[in-house]
Amino acid sequence: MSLIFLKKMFSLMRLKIAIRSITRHRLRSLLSIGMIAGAVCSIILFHGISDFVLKALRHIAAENQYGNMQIAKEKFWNPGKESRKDRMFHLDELKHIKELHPEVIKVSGRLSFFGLVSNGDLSIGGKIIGIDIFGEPNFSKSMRIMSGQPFADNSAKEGMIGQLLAKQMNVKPGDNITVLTNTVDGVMNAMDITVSGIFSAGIDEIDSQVIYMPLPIAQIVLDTPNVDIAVFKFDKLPQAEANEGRINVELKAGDTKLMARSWRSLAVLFRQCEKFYGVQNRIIEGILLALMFLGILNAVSMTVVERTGEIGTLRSFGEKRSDVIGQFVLESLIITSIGAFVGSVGSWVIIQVIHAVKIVTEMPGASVPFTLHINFLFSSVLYASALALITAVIATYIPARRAATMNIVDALRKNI
Amino acid sequence: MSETILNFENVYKIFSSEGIDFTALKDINLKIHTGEFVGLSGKSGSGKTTLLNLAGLIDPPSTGKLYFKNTNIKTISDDELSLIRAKEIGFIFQTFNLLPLLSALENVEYPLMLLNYSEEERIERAHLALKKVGLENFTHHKPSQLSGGQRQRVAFARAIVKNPTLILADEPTANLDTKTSDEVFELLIRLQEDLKVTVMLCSHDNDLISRTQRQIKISDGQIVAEVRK
Repeated sequence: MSLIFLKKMFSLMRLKIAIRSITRHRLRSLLSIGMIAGAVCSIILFHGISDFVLKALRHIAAENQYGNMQIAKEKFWNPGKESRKDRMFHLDELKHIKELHPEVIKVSGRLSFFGLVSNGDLSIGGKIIGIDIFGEPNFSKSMRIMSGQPFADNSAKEGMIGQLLAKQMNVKPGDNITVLTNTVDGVMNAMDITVSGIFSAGIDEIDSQVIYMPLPIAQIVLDTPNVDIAVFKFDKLPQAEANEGRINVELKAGDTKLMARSWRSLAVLFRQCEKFYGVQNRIIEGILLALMFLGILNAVSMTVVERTGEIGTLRSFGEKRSDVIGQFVLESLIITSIGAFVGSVGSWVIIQVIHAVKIVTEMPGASVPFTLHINFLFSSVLYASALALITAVIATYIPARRAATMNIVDALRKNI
Repeated sequence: MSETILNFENVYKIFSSEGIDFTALKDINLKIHTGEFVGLSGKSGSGKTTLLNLAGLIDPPSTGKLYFKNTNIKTISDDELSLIRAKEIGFIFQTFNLLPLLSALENVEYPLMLLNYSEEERIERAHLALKKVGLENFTHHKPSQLSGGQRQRVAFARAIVKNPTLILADEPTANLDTKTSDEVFELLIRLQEDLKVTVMLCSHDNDLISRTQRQIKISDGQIVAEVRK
């Protein structure tokens, strides 16, 4: 498209004609604007919902469930018949990696084991996870504490218990429970701990079986100075994925038999949701844009029929076919721009209303309801507007081209 | 000797509808020269308008050759034809064909926009053209606010504003009352004389045709008589 054509297309006279054509059929133009606004608004809202859910899931996965990056023995990820001890390692083995990566701001360990949890009357199998409260300060912050509080420090013989497990065992903050398991050498060991708080991770699977306790206490229970997993906290989350390959190369070079996995490679649920929302949003966009396409096609086709005589007159004056198409496209671009603006503003208003009303909803597999939040994303505004403009141009081009190529004499006859 | 603007060589125009061919023009051989005022007469359906459409380069001949200033129009693209129409040809229609969304001034400006004139020059020339047709006080009126005669004057101004070499007027007075018709025709004669432009006019009105310099009578798609004053 040449610069001259664009200059001609957006000339004041053509803009004048375009605006007057739009205002000539107010109702039709308003319907078109409404349709475009609806499509743009819906796309922005769907993107906003999926963005909120994915960000929440990412936060749970990267800051709570897995950490930014986990490093463990390869056998930990792919266990075989080796002993438990062979799947563990000492955090000192990662000193050189920490030195090579100043972007890693914290390294902490995790140690988990299955055992019996008893309140004296009832014993239930549970998963006990030892975490470093100082190494993972965001861990307890990102967790919803339903009652009580997180354990105070790494030396406290305390634990935070999932709300569904706490309910099943009928325990509350301040109660004592006994954790019974085998040490890494296979000797039975038990420890009494105090319930410091009851948490909810928002996921049934965690809330119904997990007890968190300080890492050093878990190491005492298992009688080991080692950990299963080292958790790396990066300065910025994207650095975790960016450095995954490099850290693995460095680990291999150090002959540690350790392997690094970023939060994304560990977070299966997040990846599934991301894929699902991606497909869902594309389908919704497709349906909305198809409806918009048909609406604009219909509106422009009607306009072409009504303005056939006018087109004949303009062509007889020497208007080129491309100029005729350009005029219709310009009118369509104006309507679509207005529609996109109205849709964007409308979506912002709807989001504010939804936030003010505080709609509470539940996610599949979630143990606690949450207040629906929709993120208003400028990128979605641009994306939806661009899609609407492209759709409008294509939908306009088809009837406009028909108008431009019609026989001039036949078109002129419509003036009578 | 004056330049030949249009040269029809053995031109036929055949329309096909539902498998039936209708020959609107048969073996037309005609040369139109600069500065001529040509009147085309004939009964309804005789082929006058078809000849005018061919002359205006908005309809191609079915067979034969049509030259516009020595250019065979079959050898040039649609965009080139559009450019010739934009630069060289002014149309005046029976139904005026003014753009309803534009004012009288904007209607007259429009052909100049196609030729990439600046806005200042467009407005200046459009004002001048409207003055020539006596409508300098109606520049901001919309076509719907003008009488039939005034609308046709705007159409005249629109046709002459770009200083074309050829003006084609298809029944320009047919929708006007007798008095207005006379006024409009006088205006056309005056403009033709002032601007030394070639005019091809077709009309049912033999009185009007008789006042043109060169009168061509068409019947059943053929030129049957020609009179020069």
